[in-house]
Parts: sequence; structure tokens; C-alpha cells
Amino acid sequence: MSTATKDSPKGNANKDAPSLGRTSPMLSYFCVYNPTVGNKNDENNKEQILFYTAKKVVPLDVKLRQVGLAQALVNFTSAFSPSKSVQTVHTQKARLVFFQAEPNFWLHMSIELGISRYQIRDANGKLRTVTDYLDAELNDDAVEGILHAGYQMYKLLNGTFASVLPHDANTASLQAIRRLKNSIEEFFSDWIWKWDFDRLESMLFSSVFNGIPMQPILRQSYLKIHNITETIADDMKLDIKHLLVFNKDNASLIYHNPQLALSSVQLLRKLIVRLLERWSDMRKAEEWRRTANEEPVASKKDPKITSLKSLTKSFSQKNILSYFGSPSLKPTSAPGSVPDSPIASPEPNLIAALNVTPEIASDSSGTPSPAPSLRQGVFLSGLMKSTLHDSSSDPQHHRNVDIIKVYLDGDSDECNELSHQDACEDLQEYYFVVYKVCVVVDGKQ
Amino acid sequence: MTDQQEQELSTSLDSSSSIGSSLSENNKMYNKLKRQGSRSSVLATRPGRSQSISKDSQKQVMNEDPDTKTWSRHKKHFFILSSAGKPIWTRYGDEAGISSLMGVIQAIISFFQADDDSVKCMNAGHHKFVFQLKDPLYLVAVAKTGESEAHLRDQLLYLHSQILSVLTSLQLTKIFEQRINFDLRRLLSGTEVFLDSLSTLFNNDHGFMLGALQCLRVSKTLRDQIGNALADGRPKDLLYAIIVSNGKLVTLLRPRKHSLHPSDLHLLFNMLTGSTTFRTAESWTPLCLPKLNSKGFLHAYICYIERDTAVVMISTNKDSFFELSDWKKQIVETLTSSGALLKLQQAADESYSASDIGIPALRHFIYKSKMHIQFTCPELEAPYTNPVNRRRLHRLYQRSHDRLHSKTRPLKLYYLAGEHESILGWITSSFELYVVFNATVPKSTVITSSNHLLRWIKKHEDMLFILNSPVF
Repeated sequence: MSTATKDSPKGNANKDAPSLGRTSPMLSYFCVYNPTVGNKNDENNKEQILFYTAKKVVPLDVKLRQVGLAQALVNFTSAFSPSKSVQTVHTQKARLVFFQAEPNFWLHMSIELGISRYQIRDANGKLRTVTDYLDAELNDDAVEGILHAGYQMYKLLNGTFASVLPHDANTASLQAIRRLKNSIEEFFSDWIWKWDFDRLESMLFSSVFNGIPMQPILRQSYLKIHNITETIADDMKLDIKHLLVFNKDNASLIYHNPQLALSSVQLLRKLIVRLLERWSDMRKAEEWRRTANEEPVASKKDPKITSLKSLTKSFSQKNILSYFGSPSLKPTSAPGSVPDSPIASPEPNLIAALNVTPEIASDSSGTPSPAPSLRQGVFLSGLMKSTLHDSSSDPQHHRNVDIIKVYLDGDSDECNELSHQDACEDLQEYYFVVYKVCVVVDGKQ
Repeated sequence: MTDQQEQELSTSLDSSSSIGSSLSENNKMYNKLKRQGSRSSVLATRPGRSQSISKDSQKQVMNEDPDTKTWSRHKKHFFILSSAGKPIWTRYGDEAGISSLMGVIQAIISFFQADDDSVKCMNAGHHKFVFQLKDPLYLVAVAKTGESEAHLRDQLLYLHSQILSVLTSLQLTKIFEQRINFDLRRLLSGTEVFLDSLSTLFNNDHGFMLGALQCLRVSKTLRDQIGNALADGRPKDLLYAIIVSNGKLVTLLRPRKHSLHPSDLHLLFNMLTGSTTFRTAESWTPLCLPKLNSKGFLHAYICYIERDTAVVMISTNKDSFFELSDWKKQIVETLTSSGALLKLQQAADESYSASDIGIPALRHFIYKSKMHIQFTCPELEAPYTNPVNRRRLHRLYQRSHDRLHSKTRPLKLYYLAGEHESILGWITSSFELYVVFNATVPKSTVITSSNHLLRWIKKHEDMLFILNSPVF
């Protein structure tokens, strides 16, 4: 609720002055901790903080104090509610959010509430500044959902916390702790600062609840795609476990392998959105760079790179493209043209995302590659680290294709037989290959 | 004194005259448990110290602390502690046993205060923890009843007012200024009954939520008769005179400029229901009415003039007991001779029910008249005589009230169709209405029936509400 603080009256403010401004809610601090790590008996155990970030620099004792408070609140509420401990705490100026991702692993953050300041004239005619803490604007479920979403994404990319560190972490080695800390920091340090709490409610369905926009397609197209994916799975030497097809423009889902649980599809889609963003950022940077350098560029053909290129193509490009041989997909005419977003195409542009189990990945023998100039798609992530060389550009314009491993809950077939909650404890590790198909209309880019 | 009163006097004397100290201790506990009787809390036996009370043969536990199994099964806890962390009152359990819990609460509150912030509310699953800081007291409510933060905070403020009514705010702050570690229980001993009964009353009386008082339905002539009896021969220092019957207001005499705030009246009614001692004899007690003047004491004369009817007189003079007692005799004489007292008792016994109104499918309603700050509601009848259904109905009213009065998105009209019943909530500038129907009633019928009800209420307004109370 609103609280009034008496400030000195502003000198030249008009009568019934309008609002003095509004600050948005923003993150105060975020931390991941496990109270069982390190020396449990030591009050000032700093090992329990696995990750901490705040909007301003905070000394260690303050961090420990905050984590201590968090644990105290958890213990206090469990005395009354043993099944579910504290989730959110409303204070006058902030909101604290708690999430126990795994037994003894806690994600905790504090958000400063938005402030609205305005002036009113009180009974004596004096001007008074009223500070309103906008408590109602931050929804509890939404902020809890943020922590859930973060943990799900982390789990997708890194597996569970417990897989690195056992629950009762007394015996954990320092190495394991350090490894866990690094992976947590790598993921969360970027992720947590991306949230705009002001627009939380508009982002709810896409970001917090992981909604999937679905692309409506004709039944025939769906069947065609289904057949294509089955043929891919059969023909390729790799053991493809799951296949998804998305629309490139808005990452709406076109097709997914029925065995893949929808929750995994949600997370994979988020990943794809991120990759797309990164790719388009890089494209923009390239464009900018290209227009800046007017010099003609000579393509240097390094045999080593060519062979790598052919290697990557061998198990994907041409073969896949041959399957997508519907009349609307026209091959590019100009050799060496950089694939780009098409201006118009009757069929949606496709991204095929493949999940491949790790053992088979090393086997990469495939059919010999066709003309290297034929480019109809680009890998956003592959099965091995490679450097794709854009044939028209100079050596600086190469792009690294990263390996992305994801951890998904076990196949939903198995899950269906047992109860959903406790069956899928073990995560399966997969390689996540993303291939972006570009349709280039004749002559145009 | 009538036979009845003599009987009651003897029984109360029995219970209070104790033989051994342990017996009185047991009796105190026993009385406390009876007062605390929220049936929804599940209580279990503790070996060695159990005592069965009622015909239900429900065994109840004597002492509880956070370690007993039943602690987490209570639906609503209240805690009052001083800013130094000393326990003052707790609804369930023994104050001494939970001092560590109070310490934790105090630590949490002071942690946030160190950052120039104050904790307001916490959510954990179905539980809500509401903190109300009223220096030098801290009040905490822990509830899994589904009540909203606003309602719980209101209830905490009522508990705070109750403490103020015993001590006055002046004394309270002075005590803690002098000695921050003071144990307030010493000063409050004997009045915890009222805190206990207030907690139970929250679940039964809608008046707390509405901020209004329920009036007894009596004919206008009867009410005027009683009012006239009050207006006559008023002693000099009298501030207010109130006739209460069965927890419902009959009429009151007040100075022209100062009307009584509903929360003060709630505290007074709570005093009447909370303790049986007032029934036995005339009582003269100092008290403070926080909304009227939180800094000073007034004196109250309380006497039951019929089985369920009591007269309460508030005076500014602490020596005017005999004057007021004489005046009471005069009033009783006037009323008995005209037969008004008997009629009043009759009216208190029979209260109207929803089916009396003659609107089909109408199960229950609450109508609050904003102008008069009074509300009326019929007696509960089937299916709400069953405690489970009654509680559900009560929660339904609370939820509707909360939604209509939401601070950020207030509503004027609210309709909720549930599995067992449907409710219509309607707020205008002159009234607030909550009507409950069968689950199967269509919306159009709901609206026409509600209008019908409003017409009925308007017609009987002078019987249902106190429109003109005598003033001086």
C-alpha cells in the first residue's frame, strides 16, 4: 500500500502537481545457494552461495546475511506449513521470491518495487511528496514463474544441480563445487538480467509460461512433413531421436515428434528463439561490417576448411534439401551468394531441429558433398564444432557452429507407464542440431 | 435477582472457587479451551495431561508448542509480541512454550527494519503470514483459511484495539519506553479471554468484515418505546447508553455530535459475549474506546436486564456507579410495566429467516446500509446449519467482499457461480448487498430476486435498522 514520506516541499511546484515520475521495478539481487554445501556448522559459510549477482556491489557479509535471512524464512514458514515453505514475501519496498529447484538447492531473488511519486497538498496547504510503492503491479505467480523458467532452461542445457553435486553435499569435492558454480554462473549471469519486470504481464505467456505458438498448416502439408521426417530419420546414419520443425520467422511450431514431451518442446523452442536472435544479430553485424568495408573480398579457399565444410554438409545439407524438394523451394542461382531471409515465399521457411544421441555423432561418414556453392540453409548448431566459411567473404566472416547438448526428461513412452512425477528423474543427454532452411527466390536475396 | 440469575451465580461461583491451586489452574485452562473452541482446529490428546469436556467427548490438549503435531493443523494462529520479542498473547498454545518462535518473528521483523523496510506479508502454499507492526507491539497472523491479507490485517487491528481498550495507548507506549523488556502479560491477565473470544468471533460475525453492526429486528414502536425510556432521566456524566440483545444492537443513546464507531461497539459486544461474569451481577469496569479516545479511560456499567438483553452505559466519571445503577432500575421499571422488556426478549428469541421473505431459491443474504453503518442478515437455516456448509458460506462472503473491495481493481457488481451455491455481490453508494442462491438458479432470476429482496428490505427498513436513535 502507499506510504507517505514527508519530504521538504518542492519550491516551485504548481498546485495539484502531476506525477513526479515513476521508476520501474528492478532486480535487487539474485542468488543460488545450497545450505548443505561447505561447513554446515559455520554460520558464515560462504561456500553455500553457489551464485550471487546484484545490481550494485555488495560485500560478502551482506550476501551472507541475505542468505541467512532466506534460510530463516524457510525454516519459520515450515513450522506452520511443512509441505510447502515460503514462496514470496511482500515487504513495503521489495518482493522476495523463493524457489526450491531441487532438494536443498534454492533460487532466491529480491525485486525492488516500482515507485510512483506525486505531490499533493495536505490539510495545511503545504506541498507534500507522496511515495507510493506499487506492490500490486508485480504479480506473485509471474515472478515465481520467472524462477521456474530459469531453472528449467538451466536444466535443459546443463542437467540437474544434483547430477554434479549430490544432495547432501558434505562429501562433494571442491572440483565438483567449482564446476557447478561455473555452469550456474555461465547461465544465470546473462539470463537474470534480461527480465523487464515492468512488462512482465505482457511477456507472461511467451516467457514465463513457455507458451508455444503453433503454426496452422494444411493436413496434407503436415503429412508431407511427417513423411519427410521419417525418411530423414531412416536414411541418415545417425540415430535421430526427435525431430521438430519450426517456422523461422516467429518460431511457431509446425511439427514435433509425438514421443517428445510437450514440456521439452517448450524449452527447445525457447532455445531456438535464442539461437535465432543470436544468428540474426550476427548477420546484422556482418552486414554492417560489409557495408563498411568497400574492398572487394577474395575468397580464400583453405583446403582444410573445405574438407570440414564438406564434412558438415555430408550428413545434412544436400541430403536434407533433396527431401525438401517441393516446387516452391528454388535453389539459389548465383553461386556464393550468402543465404539470406527471402522476401517472399509461399511456403514457410523451416528450421529443422534434430536431437541426436551422442554415441553415433562421431560417425560422420556420409555421401560426398555436392557443389559447395549450393547453400540453402545454415546450421545454427551442429554435431561438431566447425567453422563454416562463407564463400563470398573474407576469412573474418566465418562463423562457429557450436555443439549444443540438451538434457531432456526420458522419452515420454517410458514416462507414460509410470507416474509422471517421479519416473523421469534421469535426464537423457542429446545433441541438439539446428538447421535453418533458407528459401531464396530466383535472383533476389 | 431471578431464579435463573441465582443459578448462574452459583455455578460461576463454583467454577471460580477453587480448592487447590492445581484445580484452579486446570479450570483456567479448561475455560480457556472452551473459549478457544474453534471446531475447525483438530486437536489431539497428549498423554498424561488430557481432559475431556463436552458431550462430544472431544479430547483437547492442554499445552501446545510448535513441536506438537497439532500445531500445524490449526487453521489460524494469532501472535502478539512486544518489539523486544517477548510473547504477549497467542491464540493456541502456551505463551511460555512459544517464546523461541516469538524470538524468530522478532528477528525477522528487525532484519527488514535494519534495511529501512518493513515486512508485510508472506505466502507459503496455502498459508498466509500477515505482519502488522504497531509499535511497541508486533502482531502476526498465520492462516490457511484462504482469507485475504486485507481481512487478516483488519483482524489484527481489532486485536490491537482490544489491547488498547484495556490499557490505553498512552500507557502502552509509556510502559515500553521505560522498560523495553516489560512482560505485558502481567497487565493483561484476565483480559486474554477477550482476545480469545474475539478470535472466534471473527469466524462467525460478518460485522468485522463489513465494519458495521447487526441490529435486532424489532417493531418500530417497540424500539421507540425503549429509546424513550433511555432518553428519560439521563445521568449527568453519561456518554452513551446501549441496549444489546443477543449480540445485536437494539438502540442506543448518544450525544448529538459524537456517534460511536462500529469497531468500538464490536469491542463492547465482544466483552459481553467473551465473559460470563457480566451475566451474574452489575459490573463496573474501566475501559478505553480506542476510536473515540485512545488515550484515556472511560467507565462502563454493564448489567443484564433480561435473559439475553443487557444495558451498557459509558460514563466519563469513575464514581458514578450508583447513579447509573439507580437509573438502570428506573429504566427496567419503565420497560417492564409497559411489557416492552418481555416483547424484546421475544424478539431476541425469534429471528427472521430467509424463507420468511418468500423469495424462492434465496438461501441467505447480508445487507449493509452504508448510511446507518448497520447490517442485517437472516438466521441460518438448512443447509447452513451444518458447520461445514456454514464455514463455506462464510468464506464465500469473505471472498466476495475482498474481490469487490480490491484496492487496485474494485468492482460494483460481482457474481460467482459455485458448485453448491451462487452469490451476487452488489455495491452502490447507499448499500452493500450479498445474496446467496441455489447453484442452479439462472442469472436473470438472480437479478429479479435481488431486486425483490431490496424492495422487501426497504419496506421493512424501520424494523431492521435503527434509523433514529435518541440523542442529547
